[in-house]
Amino acid sequence: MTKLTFHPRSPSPPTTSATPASKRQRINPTLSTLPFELFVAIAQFLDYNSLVNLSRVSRALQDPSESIIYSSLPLMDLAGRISSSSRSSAHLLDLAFDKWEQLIGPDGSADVLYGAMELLRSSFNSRPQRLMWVREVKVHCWQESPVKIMPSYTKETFDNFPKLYKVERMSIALESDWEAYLIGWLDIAPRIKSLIIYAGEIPPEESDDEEEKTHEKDEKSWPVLEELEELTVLSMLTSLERFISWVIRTSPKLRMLKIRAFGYEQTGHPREELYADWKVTLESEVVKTLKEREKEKEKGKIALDIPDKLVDVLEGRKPTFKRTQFYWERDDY
Amino acid sequence: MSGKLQEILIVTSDDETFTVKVEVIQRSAMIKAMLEDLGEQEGQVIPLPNVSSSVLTKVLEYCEHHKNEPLPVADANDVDDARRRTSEIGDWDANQVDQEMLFEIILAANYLDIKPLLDVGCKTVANMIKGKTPEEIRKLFNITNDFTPEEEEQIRKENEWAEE
Repeated sequence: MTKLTFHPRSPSPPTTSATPASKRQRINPTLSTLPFELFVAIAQFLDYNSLVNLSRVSRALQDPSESIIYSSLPLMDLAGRISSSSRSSAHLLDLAFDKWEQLIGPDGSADVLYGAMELLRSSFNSRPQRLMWVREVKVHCWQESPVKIMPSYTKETFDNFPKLYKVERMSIALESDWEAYLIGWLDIAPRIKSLIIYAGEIPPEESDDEEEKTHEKDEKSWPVLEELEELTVLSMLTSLERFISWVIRTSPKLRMLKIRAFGYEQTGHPREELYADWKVTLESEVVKTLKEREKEKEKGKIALDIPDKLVDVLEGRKPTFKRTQFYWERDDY
Repeated sequence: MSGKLQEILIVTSDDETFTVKVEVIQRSAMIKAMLEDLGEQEGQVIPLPNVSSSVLTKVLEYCEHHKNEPLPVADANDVDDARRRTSEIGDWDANQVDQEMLFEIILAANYLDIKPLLDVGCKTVANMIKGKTPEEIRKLFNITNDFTPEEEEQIRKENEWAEE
């Protein structure tokens, strides 16, 4: 009988069943036929690359392998570990991946976010396969405004990032100078099904003609989100209406647009003002685009999930606030 | 002698009867719990319809060798997580068994709830997998590649950037 050793460093060649089939009352257990819980028990001793290789062996092994990887690496979340430990970031990254824990969503200061981004970049460059199974990306930054970091990221910043085809969900915090940052992330995760946008500050008015022309030019380089089904906006950035309209126009599978008030209770701004701002936004661009798309039957209708006070706008009633007046009032805070 | 139960009888799936010391077989949390539920009666018979005699023999060898070690406690996984994560296997546990027996032992250890043995079996399989390509894993475990060429090409395309 060919023997297999229990020693890890000297595996023997494959063996065949040595027991006569006539004596068997059930199928011989193999790696492919193990119950899922036992597959998990084995997988806990495997490194990430081995699990990836295992998922590519056969159909029977692909599903359990991927489900373990998926459930273990659901989101990007590096910053907490980096900021709270004196150990090297590379070591922390190794720990995170070896345990298939969540990948980080920077949820700290701009410095932390910056550090996490740099770490991701170096990780992509050195061992890109680490990130190939990431299903969800969260890039948030609440303790300090991401506006301090986003301008330093251009489209080129993301050029060396490989595509994360497995990412289905992304949530991202934005500030007024959002474009290169948002588009950069969308470029590397082109198959997302759900996108959530947060923003905590209200930017200055931006409506001069020159800038609008620049935006039109920029849109041509924006990625088309072919798989996007749901866009949720928890934001007061009026400049985002261009992006929202772009998504409505170009995403063939978009079925739901959600708009939510967010952050006003924390900042002290009355919710009414947020609605007022969004009334203007919806009436001027987003609603127009929605109506245009409704005429294109092949793309399908988009369901809206919005605060009650915005419904009248969509039904054609005039908004009661002017944008200029709104910002004037807001400056008094 | 306190009258405490010393031995029980175990009947395997192929109708073989084993006389087993309680101090040995109580490494099985399942049998230990069963004995506590049934009460200690001399000549107690426990049928194991999911375990063959050849597999039970190996399991008993393991239990006999480790009988003096502390019994695993419930919810100990978190406590000795670091130990369990290591790929090292003790010298005695690194005994040779063929692949079919290895999976049989894993199933039996799971059924009998012998966590240390389950860990040894799972570590052994994991160590066999580590560092191997998908094709090498197929050969090792005699697995047929049932992906279509189109599916393989799709997987290759999705992952080609990740190849080192």
